[in-house]
Amino acid sequence: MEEYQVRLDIFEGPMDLLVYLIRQQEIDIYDIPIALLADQYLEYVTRIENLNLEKAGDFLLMAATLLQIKSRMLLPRPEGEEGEWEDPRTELVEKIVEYMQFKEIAEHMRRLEELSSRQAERGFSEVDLYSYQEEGIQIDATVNELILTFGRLLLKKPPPEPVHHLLREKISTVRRAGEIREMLRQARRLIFSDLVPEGSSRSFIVVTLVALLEMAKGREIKIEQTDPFSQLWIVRKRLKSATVNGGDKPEEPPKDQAGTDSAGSVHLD
Amino acid sequence: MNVEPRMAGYSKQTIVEGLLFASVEPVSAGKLARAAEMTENEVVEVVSLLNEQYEKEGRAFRILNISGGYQFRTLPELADYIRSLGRQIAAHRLSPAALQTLSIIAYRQPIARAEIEKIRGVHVHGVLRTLLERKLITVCGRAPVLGRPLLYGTTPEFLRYFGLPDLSHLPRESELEVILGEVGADSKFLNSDEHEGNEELGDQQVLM
Repeated sequence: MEEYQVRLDIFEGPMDLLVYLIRQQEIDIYDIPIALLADQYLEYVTRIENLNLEKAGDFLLMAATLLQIKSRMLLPRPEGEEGEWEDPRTELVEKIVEYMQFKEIAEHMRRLEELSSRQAERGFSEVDLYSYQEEGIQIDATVNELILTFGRLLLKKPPPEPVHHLLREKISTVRRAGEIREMLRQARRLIFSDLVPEGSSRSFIVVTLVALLEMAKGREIKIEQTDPFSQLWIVRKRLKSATVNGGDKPEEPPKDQAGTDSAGSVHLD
Repeated sequence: MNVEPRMAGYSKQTIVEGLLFASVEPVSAGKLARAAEMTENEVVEVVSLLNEQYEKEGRAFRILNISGGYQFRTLPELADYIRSLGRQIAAHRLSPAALQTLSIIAYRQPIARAEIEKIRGVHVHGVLRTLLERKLITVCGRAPVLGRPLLYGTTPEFLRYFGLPDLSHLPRESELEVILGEVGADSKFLNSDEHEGNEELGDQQVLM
């Protein structure tokens, strides 16, 4: 049972499963034993449990089609007028043939992709050293970009500050910088949105901004993007021993919480 | 000092080689011809002479015809060395779903989303977005049917990604039908599919 579930994930969709069954059974696609195929198909589909609704829907639609064809095959054919009888399987067969064709093409293109990717163009750049999600030219983002991004964030989300101020979130830039450092130690670079998740409070956003600015000023991090207006990346700079060594120390508890979110305090030690 | 004619003392090969070396992007034969003051036919000829020469001398690269232009590319055999230098080669492989969708677009363009979904039997929103983001496809109009759906087609980047001179270098559908004739009883295709599906889970995450 478990095994089947895993295997279903490899099917891109209902067509993929059909083609799989046809090949496995060595079925002649121009004379498909539709009852058999429908049964086997259903057997697989009933094992779909962990698929999302949309994907499951795709599979079920095909199941319905198969059953419909199966039932139409059972109807008596009109006698005498042989030329008139239309095989209810025709449309499905055409679809399967077309699908197989594109599978074939895709396989061919995979080979092209493989070959082409091994033929390097000229122009080795620093970008290649990172496996950025997006391709593109890496440019240093300016402080303006950073502030604009934060600005958009603050404008977009009205502060979901709690109505009752029982647990007012107090976080200093020092502590926030420590947290960012910790995240960077694990990831080396972060997508900006990782730092400010949906629904962050206004004060949290501001503290994060100030912490980042401080870290950038102290040359601990670089802020980069691949295109203007694209995603911002926070990249940890390799620390030279001469510069700030706070980066490699475990987070320190905030020394003073009350209102000293001012500049300078970020430079630990 | 007396400025000599630009070409003085240099062979056509040297000039074309220099132009290509200076460019990272593929350069069309027309552009090369204008810049090097020769005809397009001469450019084509010179390029093949250069490639012969590179082969004879065991050089690391060839001039390939990519996306309607000429471009230096390293030999595929060197890929592992280049990769070890840190360059991401083959790190951006497309998911099976993306590749299949792209195949359909390449052969049936311009094509609307619904048509692609009819062939693949699944929804393709997400995949289309990925392909658009990677600039492998583009919106190239609207179909003159109800709802005027967007039509998609491939881009020059598509050709470059697959190392193709132009779309006519994809195998014809009729050629594939010949291969398909033997598919029915052939299970080797199936195995390779399964294989692919598994090994790509990792890549897909990078991509999507």
